[in-house]
Amino acid sequence: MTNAADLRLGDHVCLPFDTDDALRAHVAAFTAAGLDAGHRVMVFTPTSTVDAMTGWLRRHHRASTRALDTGQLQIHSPDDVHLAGGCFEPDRMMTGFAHATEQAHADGYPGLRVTVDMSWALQPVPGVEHLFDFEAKANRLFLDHRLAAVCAYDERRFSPAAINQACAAHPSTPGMATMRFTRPPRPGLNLSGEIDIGNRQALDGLLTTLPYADTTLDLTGVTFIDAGGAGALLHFAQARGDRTTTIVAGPKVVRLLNLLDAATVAGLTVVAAKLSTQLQETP
Amino acid sequence: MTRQSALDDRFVHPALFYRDDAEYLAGTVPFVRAGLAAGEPVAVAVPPDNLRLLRDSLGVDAASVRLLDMTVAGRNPGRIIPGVLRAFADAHRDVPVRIIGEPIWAGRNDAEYPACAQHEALINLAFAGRAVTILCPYHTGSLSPQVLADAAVTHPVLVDDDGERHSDHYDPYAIINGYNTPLPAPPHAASIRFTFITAARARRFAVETARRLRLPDARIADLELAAAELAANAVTHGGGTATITMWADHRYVICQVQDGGHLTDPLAGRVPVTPDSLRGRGLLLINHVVDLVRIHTSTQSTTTRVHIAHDYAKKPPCHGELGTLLSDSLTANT
Repeated sequence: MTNAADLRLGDHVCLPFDTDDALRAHVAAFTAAGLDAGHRVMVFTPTSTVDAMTGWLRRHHRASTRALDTGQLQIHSPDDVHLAGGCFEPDRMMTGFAHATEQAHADGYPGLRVTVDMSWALQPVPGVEHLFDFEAKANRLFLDHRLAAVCAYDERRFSPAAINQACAAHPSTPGMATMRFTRPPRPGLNLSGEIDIGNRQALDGLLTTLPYADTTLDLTGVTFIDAGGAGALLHFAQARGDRTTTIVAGPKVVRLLNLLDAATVAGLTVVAAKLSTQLQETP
Repeated sequence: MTRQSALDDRFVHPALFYRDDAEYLAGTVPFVRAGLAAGEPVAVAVPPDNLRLLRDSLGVDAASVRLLDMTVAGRNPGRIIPGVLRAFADAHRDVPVRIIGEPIWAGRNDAEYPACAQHEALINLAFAGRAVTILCPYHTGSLSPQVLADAAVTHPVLVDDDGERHSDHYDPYAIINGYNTPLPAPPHAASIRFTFITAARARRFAVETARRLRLPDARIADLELAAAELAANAVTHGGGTATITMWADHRYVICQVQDGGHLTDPLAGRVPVTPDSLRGRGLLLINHVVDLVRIHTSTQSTTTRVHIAHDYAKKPPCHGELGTLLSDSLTANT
């Protein structure tokens, strides 16, 4: 995904930014695209900027005023949500976003779009050290394609190392590898796009959500995966004990798995995807 | 890392200097037969002419020996330890193992040779303490005096038609460090800088440039993987910012990544890992899919250069066309 207009339900995007104008331009485009799509839009901005952001959106995007009145558009402060109770609790956050997604659906919106200025996490509050674990595990919230989120990280305030960790916990960051995923009817994951060092923790986070059952990982739509990503899949299969793992993939991915001795992993079967399926799923 | 470990007496690593077929067979056939007689697994990885010679001479015993064409299995010298030697030795961990490995022949080019010499030196580190014997034949008639002198530095034991003796010059680190020299700069090249959050661009840049250079699709997949692993290593261990550079010469499409890190483990990329291990497989995989890897590392920076032989057989570009393709990629990407 390169801009807000390309955002789809199911996307969980990391957006590093380095000017206030860049963040505002993102929020404006994100809000407009979400309202146009008929989704609920939630914008999280620091407490001191809630009023300014609200006024700016009213002026910038005419539909915002009505949407603010109907509740389609909501502007919140992370201090009241992410840090309610004075600390960051990943489990509470996970439940909170799952609930907000349900509520949007109950209120008649087919999807919920959320964008968060992540600067709240710079405050010295207990629990914030778990932020990137949370970001990786939170990918499960997107499996049903009813939620989209853009997490905006200020490159002027977060350290380069923190920005790197933030990116890797998200399936996509503009300019970096983009992975998309869905939950199939049977236990497993359908993955597509690119998997490399830039979204590796997101893959790990998704794998941890899978139930202890015979599992199928369909990578037919994956156009590139690196050794680290392929190794994570083998590690997952190896650690499953007596539950089997089936990986379905195109020739490039199959070759890499074979190079990494996938054949020696007990309980793992690698299946070549049918060409017709690949052609259908390749955009 | 200590030097005495390389001198452990369970591992035997002689160089066999031979002048002709008769001396080759005199030095290798009894070695193979003694191994078979003792019930030891035996492998032979040598160039095709010598493979044929040895197979014919062994007769029915050849069926009991694992025979490999070293110009294929060991085309990349960095692949020989994990893909040929350790692969065979590790499959027979409970018994002594014998291998004939001939990694250096007259056709090795100038870009390959330093990596071959380092490979011979690294064998001593990779097998220290293992009950393994690796006999390395050297053809004295076609190899340069420098190559033969290096063989006396990389092998603790030397064998020729005068018999067997300890090498007074044995010093594997002298070769590992001695060939760790700055790599010659390319005449024309395209490059971009990248960081963690632009590492995917380095991979895409490598693929796009290789397409312009008309690398076949199957080899582009190899290059894509190698570039991704190099880029990931660079931004993980290399100090944040790195440069990827692409060019071609008359043999290879070449992809180089330079970063600010220092590669301190000389065996990096040569030690097999288990399928589910989460680290240490990047360079190993690169060694597996490319035709040559050259590394120069210092406390200030590490330059890793991967080479993929191009196959222009179907549509050979003339020399000028190669230059045009390269300058196109230069203007398009910098």
